Amino acid sequence: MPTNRRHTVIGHAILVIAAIVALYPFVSVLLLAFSEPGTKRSGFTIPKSLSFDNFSEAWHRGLFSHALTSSLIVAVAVVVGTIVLATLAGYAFAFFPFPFKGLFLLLLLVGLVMPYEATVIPLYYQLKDWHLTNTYWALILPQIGLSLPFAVFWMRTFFVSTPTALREAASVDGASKFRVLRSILLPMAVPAIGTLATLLFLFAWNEFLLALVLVPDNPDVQTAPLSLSFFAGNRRNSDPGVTAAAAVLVALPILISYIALQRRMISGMLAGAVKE
Amino acid sequence: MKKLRLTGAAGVALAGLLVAGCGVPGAGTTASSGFDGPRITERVTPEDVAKLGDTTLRVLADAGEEDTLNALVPLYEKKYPNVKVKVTTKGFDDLMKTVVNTLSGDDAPDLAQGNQGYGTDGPLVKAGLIRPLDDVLRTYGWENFLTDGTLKQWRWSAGGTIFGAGSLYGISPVTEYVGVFYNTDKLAKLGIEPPKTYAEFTAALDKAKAAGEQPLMLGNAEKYPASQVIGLVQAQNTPSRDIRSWLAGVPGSAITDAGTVDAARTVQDWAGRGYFGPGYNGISADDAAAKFAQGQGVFYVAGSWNAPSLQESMNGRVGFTLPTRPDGTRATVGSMGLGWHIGTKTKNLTASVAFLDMLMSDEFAQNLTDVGRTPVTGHGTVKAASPVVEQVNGIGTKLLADDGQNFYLDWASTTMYDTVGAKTQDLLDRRTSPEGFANGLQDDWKAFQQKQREDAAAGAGS
Amino acid sequence: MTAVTEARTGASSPEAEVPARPRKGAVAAWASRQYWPAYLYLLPGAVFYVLFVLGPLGQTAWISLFRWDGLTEGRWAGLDNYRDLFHDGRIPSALAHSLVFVVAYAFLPVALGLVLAGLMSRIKVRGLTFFRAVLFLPQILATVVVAVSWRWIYDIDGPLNAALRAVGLGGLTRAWLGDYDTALPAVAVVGTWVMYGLCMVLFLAGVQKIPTERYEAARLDGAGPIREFFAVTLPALRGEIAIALVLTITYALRNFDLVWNTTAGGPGTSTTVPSVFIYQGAFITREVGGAAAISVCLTAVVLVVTGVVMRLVRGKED
Repeated sequence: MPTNRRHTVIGHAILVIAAIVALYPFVSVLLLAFSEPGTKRSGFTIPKSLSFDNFSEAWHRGLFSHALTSSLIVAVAVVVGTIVLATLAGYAFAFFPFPFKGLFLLLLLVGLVMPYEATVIPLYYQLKDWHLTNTYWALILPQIGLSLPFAVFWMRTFFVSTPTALREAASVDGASKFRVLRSILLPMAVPAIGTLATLLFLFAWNEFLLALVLVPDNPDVQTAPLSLSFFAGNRRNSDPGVTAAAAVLVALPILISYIALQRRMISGMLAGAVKE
Repeated sequence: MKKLRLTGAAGVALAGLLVAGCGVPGAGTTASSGFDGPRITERVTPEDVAKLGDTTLRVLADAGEEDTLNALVPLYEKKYPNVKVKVTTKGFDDLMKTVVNTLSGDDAPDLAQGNQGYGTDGPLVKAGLIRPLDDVLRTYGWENFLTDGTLKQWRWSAGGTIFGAGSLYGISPVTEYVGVFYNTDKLAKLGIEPPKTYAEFTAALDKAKAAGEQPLMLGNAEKYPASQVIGLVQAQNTPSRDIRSWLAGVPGSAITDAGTVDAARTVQDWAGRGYFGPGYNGISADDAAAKFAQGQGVFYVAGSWNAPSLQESMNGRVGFTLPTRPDGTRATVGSMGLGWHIGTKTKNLTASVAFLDMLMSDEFAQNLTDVGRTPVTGHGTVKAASPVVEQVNGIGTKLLADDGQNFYLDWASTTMYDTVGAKTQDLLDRRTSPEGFANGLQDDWKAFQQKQREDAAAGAGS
Repeated sequence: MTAVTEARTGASSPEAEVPARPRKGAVAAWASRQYWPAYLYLLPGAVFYVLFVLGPLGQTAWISLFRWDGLTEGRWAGLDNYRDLFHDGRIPSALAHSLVFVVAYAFLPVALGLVLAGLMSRIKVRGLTFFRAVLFLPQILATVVVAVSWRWIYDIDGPLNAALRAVGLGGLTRAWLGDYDTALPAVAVVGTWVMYGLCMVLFLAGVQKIPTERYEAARLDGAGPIREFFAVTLPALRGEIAIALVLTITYALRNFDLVWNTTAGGPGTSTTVPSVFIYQGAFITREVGGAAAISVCLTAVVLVVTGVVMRLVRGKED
């Protein structure tokens, strides 16, 4: 139908514009990173040749080989831990009646909305008492706690949206609540968990302030955003090209994993039993 | 109502958490009452250091020290073979956020850099995390080439409450100060001689403007650079002694003097007449340096630390000067580099002192200038790599002799960095008057001094 | 010490669960109603949550009653920090800026995200994976990276001004982040840019869940794209909209990274927000008590605002 075709064209046009707007700042950083060190930046110029000098300087001075490994360890641990805990809690919030449910949800909301710039200081002293500062645990454990509210709300929303008929059929068959979760709901939840994992991975990967304060003095545990900050947080003689290269180094792994997960998610949705 | 009860329960729960966290924050860490560790009475020899056995000296420094340390550490490890140096560097902002916690940790570094003033060094001294260096200063005779006025930037009363008097807590072999860079090509084209006095400087600005050039480059996105321009002008009229007394919080001192207000008015006037070009509040300091190197602006009021990079980016077509005061002396915004501190908990005291000794030695001065720093050591033996660096080094030495380091206005209180920055932007945009600018600084100072007095009184009372 | 302790210990010993105001027989009633499995599911998460979120938050509230430099022993101040807050002339303008950011970071991105999600629900999108990945890009970049690139876009010699000159609007060029009149909207636009991808992905995940029959039914009723959007897509996305709004509003009210790395609150104080003061108090001026007081107030404000929003969007809770 002509109307439909018009919609398709308009829709795609808007999408293309939105995509360009989303891409442009990153592209400008990319061009900057690939430019010869010390060249003049202006308007819309494209560097004549690709130079990797900025990258190699950022890589060595920012200790990126360590930092990327640390970031990966921390982010994966946070994602796995959070998803396990949030799936259990989200399930309970979705289908179990129990007293103080409203209160617990409220407490979760508190964690979701609080600004933690000040909270990080008591957290530092607590972890110091437990001799956990300067270790991976100082990055993983608090971030699992901080990711929980979002993840629990997410999983609860998903569970509530699943078809009642499926669950009822399972209970009639005599399946326990845990079996319903494991055998019926979890397979359905793969796309939702995939998206959640992507988001959590992102939050954990880009986390900066916690990493800075809770690991004040151990380069071996330092994460990638700290390496970037090493360049961006210099008050003098910072080199925009090297900073840009460091920024690209921080963003690239997550970009790649996002694209990879994105494909998995879509195939999961096509194959899964999301729709009745 | 059920809802009300739940809300009540939430309140009780939170209160419960409060009680769980009960206890005075920071309990157990009391303000330092004095240092009673071992003292240094003689120069440390390699034999003294060898007594430590195989050991690791841990150093926490600003990222700007990377080149210095890359030069120093191999020399040090060669002279003291039983010591392995492990360096951690952080960007300036990150260092300031973490250095206090790091030094208070169980496993604190032996040597660390702080920052002068109430923001960082103050808490370090107050909590007794760094060691006084009076004994080291005397033993090594550093006071022979560093004036009393200069050393005040690391002096604190034992409790860390009074700045500018008391024991010495830090040291640095380099100086950094604000001066005037000029584009030699443009000066030649305009027929202007590099200005030596302040009068010549302002005349040159007017001439450049009349010829259609942008007289001054400025990038003020970080808020501090324009305040350094004001500071340069202020130094012409306000005695260094007065500014430093004010920074130290001497009762009754004020920054609302005629010299300061005049300086604010002058710079506001420059901004109004377009001397700084367009959009300076949106240009970062680094971008300003880049734009100046590309030929925007005849003069550029900026820190001496820009000399090596400008030399390179301008292919040597750059010069540096600091206009003298009417009496021929020099004064400007400036200080020594970030101070080096020895941690109170260090088990490697002799190795740490040996580290400072090497850093402060005349032999190392050439290395310092080679990596682009401005050493106050070396005493005439240092060969600069370029004319502009030589100008920076020469004026730096004279500035020290004239006791003309005015330090930085933002040292005056923990909030002053912000206050100066915001007030300067307001001033340049004519949102406040020169008097309003000076009064704004003074109000911040007063509030901080009031708070200090309250803290001191409460500390004495408890 | 009631509900939280229950969450911590309840599952292993249900008898120990005494409600805030115990009534006779309540314990027996609980045991017979078999609430404990729910608590068993909640327990692991609750442990983490109490230890690393609620605990430090409680301590923050406690610290807000002290004058504390974050290091040496603090001094009891009672409610002085809160009193100072109300007399602090910087707060009202900071709150006004926050309000602008809520519109730019939350309402605009959600609106944009809904429009895009609506488009995608109706048409067959070619290159869906590509668009999704690209639109989400702003979210995956660390704030410092975002700030670096936008500072360049707004630069006096940057692409925005170059574009204005190219279309003959050279008179409008300026340093957008350095101008008192444009700094706030300029930072706000960056927030919109950062957030619309997140809203997109959230809504898109939601749209995929909507049974196609509902669209077919709506179309059989002769619904146009707009009616279809309001009748089918929007109601089905309520949950996602609530999550998006809570996330973005929270981000708008508490996030300081973006402001700090683009304008640092300037020029003057034209882009300050409360969280900038929290950060300064905690890490620069070392007035941790005062910073904690702002934190507590900000948490309360955000809680109320998001509570209202959730109530409005989702309707009554079950």
